[in-house]
Amino acid sequence: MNLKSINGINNSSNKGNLNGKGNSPKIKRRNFFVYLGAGALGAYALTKLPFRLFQQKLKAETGIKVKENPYAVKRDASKTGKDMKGQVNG
Amino acid sequence: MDSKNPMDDIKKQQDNTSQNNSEDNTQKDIGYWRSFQELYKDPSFNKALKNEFSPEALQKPDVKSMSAVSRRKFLALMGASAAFAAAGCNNYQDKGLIVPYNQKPEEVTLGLPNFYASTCTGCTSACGILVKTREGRPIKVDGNPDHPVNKGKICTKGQASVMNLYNPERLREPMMNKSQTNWNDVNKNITAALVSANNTGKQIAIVTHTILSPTVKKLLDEFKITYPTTKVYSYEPINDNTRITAWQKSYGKKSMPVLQLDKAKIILALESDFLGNDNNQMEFTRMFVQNRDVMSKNEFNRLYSVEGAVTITGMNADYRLRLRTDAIEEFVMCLLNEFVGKKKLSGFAFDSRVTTVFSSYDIKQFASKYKLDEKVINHLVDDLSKNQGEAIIIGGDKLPESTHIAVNLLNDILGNNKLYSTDADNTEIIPLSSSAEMDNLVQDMVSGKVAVVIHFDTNPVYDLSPEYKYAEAVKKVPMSITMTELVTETSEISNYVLPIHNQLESWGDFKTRTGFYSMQQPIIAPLYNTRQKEAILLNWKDTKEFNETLYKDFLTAYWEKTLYPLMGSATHFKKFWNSVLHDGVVFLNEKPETAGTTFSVDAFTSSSKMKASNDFVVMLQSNNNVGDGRFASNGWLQELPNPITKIVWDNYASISVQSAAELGVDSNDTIELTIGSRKQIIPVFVQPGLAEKTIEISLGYGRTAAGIIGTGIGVNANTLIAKAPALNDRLYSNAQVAKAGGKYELVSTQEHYPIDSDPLLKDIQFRRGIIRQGTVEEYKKNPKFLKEKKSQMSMEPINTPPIYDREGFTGTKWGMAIDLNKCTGCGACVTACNVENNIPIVGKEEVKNNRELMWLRIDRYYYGTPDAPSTNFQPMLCQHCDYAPCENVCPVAATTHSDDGLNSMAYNRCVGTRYCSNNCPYKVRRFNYYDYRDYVGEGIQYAEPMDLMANPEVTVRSRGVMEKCSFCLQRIMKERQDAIQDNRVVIGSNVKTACQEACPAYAINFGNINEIDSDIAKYRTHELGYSVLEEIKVLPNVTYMAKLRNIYEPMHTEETKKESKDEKK
Repeated sequence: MNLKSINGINNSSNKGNLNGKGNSPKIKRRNFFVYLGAGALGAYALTKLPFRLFQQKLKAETGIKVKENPYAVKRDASKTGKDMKGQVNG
Repeated sequence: MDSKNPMDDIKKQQDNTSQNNSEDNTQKDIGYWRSFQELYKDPSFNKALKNEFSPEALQKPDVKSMSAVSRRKFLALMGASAAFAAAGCNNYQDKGLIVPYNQKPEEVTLGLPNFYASTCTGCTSACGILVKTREGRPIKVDGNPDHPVNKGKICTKGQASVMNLYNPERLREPMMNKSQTNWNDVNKNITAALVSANNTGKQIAIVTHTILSPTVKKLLDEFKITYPTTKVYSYEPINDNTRITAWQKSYGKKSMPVLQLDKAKIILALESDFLGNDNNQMEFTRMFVQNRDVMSKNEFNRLYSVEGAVTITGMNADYRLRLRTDAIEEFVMCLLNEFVGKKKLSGFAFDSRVTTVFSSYDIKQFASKYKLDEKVINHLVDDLSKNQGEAIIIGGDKLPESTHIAVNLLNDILGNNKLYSTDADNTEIIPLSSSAEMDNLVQDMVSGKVAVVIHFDTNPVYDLSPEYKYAEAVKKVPMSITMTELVTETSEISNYVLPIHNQLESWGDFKTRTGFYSMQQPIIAPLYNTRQKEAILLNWKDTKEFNETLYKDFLTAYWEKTLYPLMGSATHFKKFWNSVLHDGVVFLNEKPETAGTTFSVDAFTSSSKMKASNDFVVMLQSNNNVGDGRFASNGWLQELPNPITKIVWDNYASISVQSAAELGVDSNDTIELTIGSRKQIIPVFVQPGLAEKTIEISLGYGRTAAGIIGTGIGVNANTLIAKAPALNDRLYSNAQVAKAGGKYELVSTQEHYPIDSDPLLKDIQFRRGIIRQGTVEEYKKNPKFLKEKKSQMSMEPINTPPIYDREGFTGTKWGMAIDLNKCTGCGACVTACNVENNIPIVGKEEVKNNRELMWLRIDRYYYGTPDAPSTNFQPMLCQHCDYAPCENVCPVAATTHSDDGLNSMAYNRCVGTRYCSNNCPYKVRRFNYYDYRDYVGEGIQYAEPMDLMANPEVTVRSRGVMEKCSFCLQRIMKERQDAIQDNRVVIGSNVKTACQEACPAYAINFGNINEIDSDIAKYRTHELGYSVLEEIKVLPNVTYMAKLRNIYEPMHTEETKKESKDEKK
């Protein structure tokens, strides 16, 4: 049965699909392993070599250590300004 | 060639306006205006009115300045990136820093803030601060509510000071001859030099700012014992010297009393900006607004301002007279003659030594000569006579000593010395050095008598008059040392540059008044290899091994041995010390020095009097932004619009309309100022309300070594300061001015985001009542007078019926009230909002393109003529409308309404169409055209450790996202969390928004408007309450309280009502 006559479609890609079946280029077995090996090496290099493609602006590794001063005396929660009124209290 | 000057047209128009104005002697027919372009109906302004958005706002972002990547390339890179990332399988965003503590510090609870009391060292006020930290990082600075002077409030500089701590350009290691070195070598070399100087009898000079700490004084005294050739020099670019010396001469008393402004019914400010740039802004603002509160029973005070400059105080005055500054002393003489010579109000009336000084001054002639409104003068004289003992006259800190002495006499005669506090006075630990002493230092440096000069966190190369030639002198000293946080002009020429702690890493104690000490404690351990400057001196004094607690131990020991016994406390010292640090302030039973009650007539008669000249007057102002230049590296302060001019990132010469026309200059032209042998070229800004032949310039700009942000911003006006000024180091009456040629673009936010630009309705901003005002008398007669007037102005609602069913909100509904009677326009709220909500700076160029990101702006409206404008300030932020027009145009529902009445933003849903901004009638939405953290100042806002400054409760936004005020949603969430934890309902008044917390005038109130007894509910239903643009029926949740002016002349006469009706027809 002719596909065109059933669906009323004159689609070159359909045609191509039908006619081109089985004609795709075949990768050689040797080349496949070469590409695979190269890909694996590339991936390994990306993870291990000191590329900083993504770390330019993040700078997560900081030399600055933050800590509260151990000798400072912090405020009680009840005296953190909650009792400040919106009105003039002077 | 067309030689027509564009200012001529403006002048003509102004003359016409003035003429018309003088004919009917009223200012009401002119309406509100914000610039000369608007007032004179300049075609460019009219064009701008028709276009709701500026062309720059409608421009597509500059693609070139982004990355030139084609679609194909982009997809290819995306695919490759995804493939690489997947192949790598590594977590490139190293989250190592956010692993939980192995050993959690006892004081830290993850997710909850801690608060520490300390003291701000940004200026000589030494206000108490309360610092909020998250996981050890200070993220917000507010006022310490226990501090008796600033009582929980802090100025713009204090608010923004947290950025100084995290400034990536802070010095991290000591430097010797511009090379990095270590502290051991530094100490070894410097100690050897000090010993050598001592042995050879050469001077060791320590140059400091005002010393406010008794412990530092002790340290310096001990240092002098170890190195007897030491001399201490102290100077302050913004000082109160003339007032202090005038007081000493008038009453023979060292310390000046504290003024009880809250008890004054009449206040006369003479070139005084007590609500703005003069010292003690926080306390004066609080005291002033205490009698400007429509919710209290207090009578309104009446503020008169006589000034040449245009200040926040003048703009908030009920009556303002513009008078060139060098004529102010003559004005005081006229008042003295009025009260003493004519009304015989004092015993001085019979002392010919006194009366002969002012007998030739007549106030009517004076008013006529300087074109002062005689009616206002009469009101002033009547008010001062009727309110003797309940009025106060304040002279500004730029006035000469002789004027302050005359002001002291005037207050004395009127019995106003009753308002000098008997409980507290201002103290002085070490007096400032005189100009002669500073000059001696320079001469000694030049002649080789000084072996070591130590700049104790000072920058005299920039601060001092160029006449000292300080920089050249420093170069002749064998060893020059500068202790500083950042590179400065002085550190650039010093042999040793020693990095010091930020104020939030330092210990200290401060005494500015009798009766209490304000304490400073480090909130965070030092971020870098810096040392506290006092500890460095201590180390050199004792030559012991350095440790981080060196100065803390010295401070504690001094308190334990000297000050603690004076307190008479029964508590053990350790407990006492902890409570002192906890509170940040400690009181002691101490009385002021006994006041000399008799005014010294000799002081008045012998002082040389200031006379008005025919030349230009130049005033060098301190300012709310960068102070004396110490805050030049702070981007938030550089970008904060000046309260009056609204100019950002610059200083300039403000000049009156008339003087500009006479000189043939306009805004953005440049002029050359010459005072004696000192010259400076500076851009011009034509400022309404400025006195004729008067020029006002802000100090603190024109830094040449202030990092990426501060270097090269504005013009250095310190170059105009004289070594031995005749009047005051910030006031000159002998300036010559000439047009310099050339242009310099100043950037102002004053015409950004106009909300009254409907071209179909003439003067709509006036009739729409964006600003509503009346007089106190009118309000007393009929409290509903503005509501009644409103009904005349009301227009047909636009959105009826509403799109949404938004009736109800029976639970919590958040609302804000802003009292325009209290708001002084200082800008503390704007800075607080920036800090709280991680708002980045965008830079001058982007502000020029209307792209500033501040969520809260303060609109400034002029009213009246260019010569004598009245001003209204109006904070404008997202109104969280019930029927928010932004919500129904968002194609991705990124802005929606919450059940408790908030207009919310989902940043990660926003795709940046900007429809919401187009549809917002209040123009309060801000769009990130760029990733501004990366865009400004070589990406300084992304540099380490600026990220530590971010408030973790607020999302950091990036390019392509719309943002706006959230009513501090994070603070609301905290209250919800607390309510759940305490098993109670949400209490609206527990939530304080950042702007509310910061406002020194208590002008902002926030809460649940459904709580009937709450303050916010009372504001919502108050007779003076109104919403901006209420006729468009978007139901905003911000209520403004109409402004009441305490003037005698009614503002809403029958005639104006009739006019209003006619216009409506």
